[in-house]
Amino acid sequence: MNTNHTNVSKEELFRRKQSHRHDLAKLPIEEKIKVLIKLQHIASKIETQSGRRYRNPWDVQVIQK
Amino acid sequence: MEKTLRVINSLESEGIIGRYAIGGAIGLLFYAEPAITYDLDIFCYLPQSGTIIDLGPLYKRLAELGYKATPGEHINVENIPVQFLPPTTNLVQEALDNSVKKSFEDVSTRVFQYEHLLAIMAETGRAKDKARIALALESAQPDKSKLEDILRRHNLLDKWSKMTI
Repeated sequence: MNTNHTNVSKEELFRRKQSHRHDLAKLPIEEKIKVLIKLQHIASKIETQSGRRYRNPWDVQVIQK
Repeated sequence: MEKTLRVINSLESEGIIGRYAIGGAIGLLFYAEPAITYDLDIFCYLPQSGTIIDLGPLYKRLAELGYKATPGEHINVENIPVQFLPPTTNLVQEALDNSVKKSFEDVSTRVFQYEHLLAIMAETGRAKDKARIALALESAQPDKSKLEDILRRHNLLDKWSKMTI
């Protein structure tokens, strides 16, 4: 298996992560709300499993443009 | 969220609330990468007598529309917990007065400017504000001269330095 493309420096990994965050910041607000709702679902699962109080994720639909 | 914003827009057009704008973490979402939050913070002018704010007309209208309000807590408007907050500092009032038009799907709304959101987090100064400032700055750059001007006018330069170490 050719692993050349998977060999990256730590600096490059962080650069890619940073670039991904810039891309996320540039998403349309509708897409960001979808990401937010996913985050709320993930958080509520973790909180339920750990027995902590959790808040319900938003029960809304964001229309795909 | 567009249904929620339509309700809030109607409250404004009916004169139940004055000028409003989205602040807090959802406001930040318009500029920076998504970070978790649950509340939609709506900053707005509300009827006021001295230091007493009258939430009566707002709660009455929301009840008529079918949304139950509990004083001091959020109100579920179309399945999103909304907090209606009056501007409590000069900085928040300035942010509300200078909020900008944005749209969500086809619904028009107003949002605090990015630089005001950052300054408000510095002013509030909680641990989660510090974390949110760091996250926001890593994903979106503010207009530095605008931010510095706001921070200077509201005596927040020192606080900002401490929050961004």
